[in-house]
Amino acid sequence: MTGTMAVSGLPAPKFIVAGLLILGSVAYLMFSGINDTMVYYYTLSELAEKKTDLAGVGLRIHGHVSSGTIRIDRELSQVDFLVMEKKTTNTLPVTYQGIIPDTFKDGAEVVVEGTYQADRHHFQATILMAKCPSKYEEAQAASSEKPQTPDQPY
Amino acid sequence: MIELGRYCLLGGLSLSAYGAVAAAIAGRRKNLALARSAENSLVAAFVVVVAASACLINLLLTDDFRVQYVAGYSASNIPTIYKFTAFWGGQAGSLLMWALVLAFFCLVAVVQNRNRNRKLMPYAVAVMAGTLGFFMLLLAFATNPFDTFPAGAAPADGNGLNPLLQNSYMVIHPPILYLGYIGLTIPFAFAMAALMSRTLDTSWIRVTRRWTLVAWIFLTMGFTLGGVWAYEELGWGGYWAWDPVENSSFMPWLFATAFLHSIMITEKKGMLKLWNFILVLVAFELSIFGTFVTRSGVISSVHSFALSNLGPMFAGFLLVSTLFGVFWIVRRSDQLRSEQRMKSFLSREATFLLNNLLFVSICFAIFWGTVFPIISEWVQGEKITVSAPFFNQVTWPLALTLLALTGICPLIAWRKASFKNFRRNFLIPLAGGLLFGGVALFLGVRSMIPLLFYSASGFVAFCIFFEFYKGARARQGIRSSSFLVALKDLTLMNKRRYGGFIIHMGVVVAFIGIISSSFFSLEELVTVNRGEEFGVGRYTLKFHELVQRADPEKDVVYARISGYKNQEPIGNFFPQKHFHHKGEQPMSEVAIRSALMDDVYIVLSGYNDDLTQATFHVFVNPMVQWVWIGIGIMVLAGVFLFFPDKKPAARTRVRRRRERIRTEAA
Repeated sequence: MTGTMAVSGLPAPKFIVAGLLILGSVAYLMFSGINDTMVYYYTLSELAEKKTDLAGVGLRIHGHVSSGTIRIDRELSQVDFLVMEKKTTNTLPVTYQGIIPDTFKDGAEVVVEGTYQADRHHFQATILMAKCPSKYEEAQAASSEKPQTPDQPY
Repeated sequence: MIELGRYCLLGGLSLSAYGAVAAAIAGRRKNLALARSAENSLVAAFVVVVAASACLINLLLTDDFRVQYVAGYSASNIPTIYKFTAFWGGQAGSLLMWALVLAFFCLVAVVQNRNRNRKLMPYAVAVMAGTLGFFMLLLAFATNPFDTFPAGAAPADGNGLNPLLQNSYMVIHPPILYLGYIGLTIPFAFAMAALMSRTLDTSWIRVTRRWTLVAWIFLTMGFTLGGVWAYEELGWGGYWAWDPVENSSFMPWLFATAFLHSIMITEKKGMLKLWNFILVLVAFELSIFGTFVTRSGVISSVHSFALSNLGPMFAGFLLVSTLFGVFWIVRRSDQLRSEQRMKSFLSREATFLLNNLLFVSICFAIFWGTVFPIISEWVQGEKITVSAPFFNQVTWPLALTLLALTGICPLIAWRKASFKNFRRNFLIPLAGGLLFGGVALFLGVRSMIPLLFYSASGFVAFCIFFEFYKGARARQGIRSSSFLVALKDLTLMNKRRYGGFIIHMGVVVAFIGIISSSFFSLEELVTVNRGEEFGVGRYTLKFHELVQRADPEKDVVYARISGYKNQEPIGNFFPQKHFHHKGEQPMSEVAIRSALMDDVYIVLSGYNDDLTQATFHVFVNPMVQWVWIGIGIMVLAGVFLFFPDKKPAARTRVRRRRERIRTEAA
């Protein structure tokens, strides 16, 4: 505190109002952002419980690719496959159109994002992310470490 | 070697524990000898951590698969360079590297300040040693890189390193990012020391500004290299996906940037004192949080959280260090009052404060989006995630305002800007903004967000050019020299101001690149037969053939495509798929042709069995290179700023001697 006197007390009211306005608009941006873009993250058994009121809701489903169910149509760049849950017998048919990641194959751990049609028990995916059941992760799990995921949009 | 490594870790733990306690006592009792001893223990801790790291590197290079870490992240047949980089390929090793870099920074900070900032030193050493001690504790007891398999259970060969990570960017990306994270420990230590020792003048800011700048430079480089790697390696056509790991490297950067701006107001006006401490504290906590997220994957897989004993330890350290910081800030808050009051919205003080609020808000929004899955699971019992659309939607208005402030802040008058000040400084830049917006409109840009960003970019660019021009002209008035010489002198004599402008210029260039590549990217998924042509934007691509090739460690399938831009040939593309013999998944190698205005980016997505037909994912990404160039300018200008202003040599020497006499007297 060199020479100058310290100023005490609250800042002038107009700055408090302005600060609140800024904070309010940031809060509004975040609130509306979450409402517009949020996606529920379910496992297959959670999906089985909720089934009814999911029409049009953004969903992410986690599971594994059931072996031997991958059907790729190159002309349409479309793939149909079955997602299964390892612990239960729940399965879910998925259709996805778009680029197929290298890691997508039988037994791979997948996350699909899209919408669910309860009447057909079918999932239309717009995003497909796959993690290979690679030895790197198994080895790490054995030594109780976490899988080392590269900066992928997971 | 294994035993030696373990003892080194324990030694490092004891030395840093001793250092922390001794330094804290020395600070309280004003005991110089004890303070020196604590400083020496930090130096010794550095030596011991170097020895531990050397042990681990030796074990990796000699393929000692008795060690779990070596078996987990290396293998006998991978190139030597990747055996070496496996040092930071896994969790335990990368934490050891954290400790190594931190110990090195502590050493530098001790050597730099032991004679200069005596009052700060004991407490700063206590905080540094405490932080180092935490990491040594993790290494010694939670995730020891020297853990071995039980006798007889050691594998014959290791797992090797994930092929995705066998890439030169991945070799340097983690260490650089770590240098950035860890660099923020030193400002935190000195900020806490200033509070604890009541040395609340600007001396701690002088010490920490350059450390923060170093951390800022490395963080900038770190997340950019991550982006370049994602762009060239992952094959989804973009460089930034807002995933938790990327976000957690960006958040401390935002706080470090806010701090580098707010200290200017403190130095010039004695305002925002308390605020600086908050910024430093949060930047440090975010760097620890970032390390934790990067290493543990806590957010991508919440369920594995409980399995790791690292989670609670990191959470504990975050909690303790935050409480510690908040306690001291609150305790000294009545001595951190501003020396002046803010007068008007239209003043440099107010616009700087606004820029700080925006940096913090952006960070808060990103933090919220990143941890939202965890929080929603706790609170609602349902896991709700948000991804890129959320981050884009929330950050763009904030980023746009921040970009505009980049032009306004450095030029607006202190206290209260008059209309005259406004007209003199901003009339030409406003015209520049309209010019940029007009050109974009003329070139066919019709959506609002990019138009706003291009106009703001033009405004800022003209602000900066105009400022350089005025400064150089004024200098020419004082001593007649050529315009370019005046420009050079101006910049060298006034580094902080004009170096800052150069960084802002980089920001503008990067923003133009980010906006162009996010809004005007073309994407096409095509399946074509041999000899067929297809078009993307103004490019025509002809698919000639698919070729198979066997390399020693992998099989390769590549496509040959020739590209044309408005009928002019632009060369061949060879997008490939690699099948590593040791890896289980094929890997796509992207073919990219980069140019200043756009990149053609081709991924070989699939093909039929007789190699006559292939599916390509093609992107035309405008101005991606501008992002790298802009950030390159920011980093180089940051390095330039790191060196002190040019001053006559004799004067510096006299001042140094005077300083030395003063410290000896004290």
